[in-house]
Amino acid sequence: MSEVTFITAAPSRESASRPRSRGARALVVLGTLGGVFLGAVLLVAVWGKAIAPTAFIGEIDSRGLGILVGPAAVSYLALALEAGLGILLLLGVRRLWVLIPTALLVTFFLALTGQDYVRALAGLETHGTSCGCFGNLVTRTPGQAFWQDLGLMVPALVLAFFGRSRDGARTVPPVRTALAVVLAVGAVVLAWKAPGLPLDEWATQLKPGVQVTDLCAGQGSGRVCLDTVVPGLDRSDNGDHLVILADLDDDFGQSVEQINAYIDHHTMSGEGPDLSVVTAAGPAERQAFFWQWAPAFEPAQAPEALLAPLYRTLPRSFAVSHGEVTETWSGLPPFARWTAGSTDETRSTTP
Amino acid sequence: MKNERSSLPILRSAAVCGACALLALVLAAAVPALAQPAPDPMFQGFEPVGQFALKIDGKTDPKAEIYQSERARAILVISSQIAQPLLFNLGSRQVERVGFMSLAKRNDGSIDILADADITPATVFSVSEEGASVNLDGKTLALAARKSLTGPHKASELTAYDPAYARGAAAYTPNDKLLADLRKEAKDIRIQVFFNSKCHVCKQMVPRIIKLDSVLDDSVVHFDYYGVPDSYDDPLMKEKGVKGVPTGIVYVDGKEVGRIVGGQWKIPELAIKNTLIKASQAS
Repeated sequence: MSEVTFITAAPSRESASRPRSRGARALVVLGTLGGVFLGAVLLVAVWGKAIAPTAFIGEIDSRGLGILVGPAAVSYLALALEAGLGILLLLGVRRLWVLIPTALLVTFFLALTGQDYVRALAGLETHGTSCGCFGNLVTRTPGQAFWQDLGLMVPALVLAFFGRSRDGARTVPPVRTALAVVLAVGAVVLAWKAPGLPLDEWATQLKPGVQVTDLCAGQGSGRVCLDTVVPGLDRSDNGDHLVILADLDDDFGQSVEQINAYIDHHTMSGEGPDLSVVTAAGPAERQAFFWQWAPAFEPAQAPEALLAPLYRTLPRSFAVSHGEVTETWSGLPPFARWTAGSTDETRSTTP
Repeated sequence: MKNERSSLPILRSAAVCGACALLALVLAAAVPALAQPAPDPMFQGFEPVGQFALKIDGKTDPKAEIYQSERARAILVISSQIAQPLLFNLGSRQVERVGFMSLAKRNDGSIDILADADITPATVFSVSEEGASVNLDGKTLALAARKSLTGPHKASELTAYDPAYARGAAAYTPNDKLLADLRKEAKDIRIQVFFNSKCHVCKQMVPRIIKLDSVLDDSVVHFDYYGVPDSYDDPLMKEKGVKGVPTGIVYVDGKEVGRIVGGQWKIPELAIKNTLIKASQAS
């Protein structure tokens, strides 16, 4: 495939024809590898964030970075930039106009994870166990997030920079650039549409086959797992369970009657699994919810860091049997499955 | 002699009459009791709860009895300062007066409302983030969340604060074999249990610890309870690096050897034994 260079200042004949030393050639090879690796890392991160954009937007918002245009616009812009740069690096474009914005982006990510790491070291509250740089797929402690980002991105960036080809440094390869633009736009469109797409099991750690004892957050004595906040979910309790992850907001409040009906049916007939509702809401919110909506259940509180990797939108539900997640639903569980024959109706909240 | 003989039938008749009267009294008392209607299936098993306080005209009534049924989604309030028991129906937000004769108290302290209960709608209550309030008979009644227990406490204070803790403790039966193992321990074992009065998992787990505490009272295993505020902002919690509740820090001869967190307290005697085994293996 031939590429047309439409920016002038073409390489001089002298530099083009100058034979390269073995060291220089090795540096170019290392630079290529570094660029490809960094591009792949950025694209994996784009995928993780684009399929779970709510978490990333929330991350940007919680850090007050949505100045002027709002957190959603900043998030989409960052995604577009990251996707475009990622594909350019993957396709071997290591020019300054690619590497400088990439360096700025890497610095931005390291500043975010570094800020959390410093706060964690100082014993201050952080933004959960991981910054949203990799979406909900990867959960890391602040220290892990910082050192992993540093290790994954900085050496690759340095190699890509020093191993860049000096030939045609100022040129813009049109086909690869066009591809990068298309992918950047595609990443934004994916992120925009993702909440309505059935991507929960791709975007979160909650999927059939996962052990509830593996759904954890934190390290050492601060480690909390799902079965520690909902006792009985683990393998030692041989019953089946339904769990609803929820925000105690008005939308969820509208579902309380339906959940109450299921609990009444379960209590009276013994049919269907035990049901638990898990929320990150604190005591005051739970108290207000109790008086407002009269639930027949008492929501269990779990740290946001534990819940965040388990959903894209709330409520999200799942079934557990013998300590293993067997099924997940966006929205409420299909209660009609267990209340067949009664008059209960099940609202499908699956988009 | 003649007089004595003639008086015998009279005495016998009197005794028979007395016995009949007594039998009639017993039957009179027993028949209504036997005929007492069964509890309403929806309104049975109101359990005493400790998370609410009744305020009358702004003053807390410490003697008020408050019962809750999650199934009925209702709260029953009995106070000497209000004429009749009141039923706060959370679903309809109705306050209803309940006749005293419509209540039947069980041996376990819970209350049933009988099937043909004398229940009269009184008014509707309003809700806020703090709780429910209603104006009734010239008084302002408010049901609000009680302040959580904070700082160091004894088990008896926890059960006094929330009867649900006592109920949970009574319902739990520790494993005899594990208890025997813990009783054999020679070193001083102290477990500092951090809890929050409104924490859902604490309500499930701490009663089990309290039961274990009571049965190990004569052993070297001792428990301290420390309530953290609803904000979870507590200096001791920070100092000890406690991230959530319930968390038990296990000390052997004054040295921390491990922690038991959340649902790990499901079988507390097992959790403690496992912690001690891990500690002995590590040392």
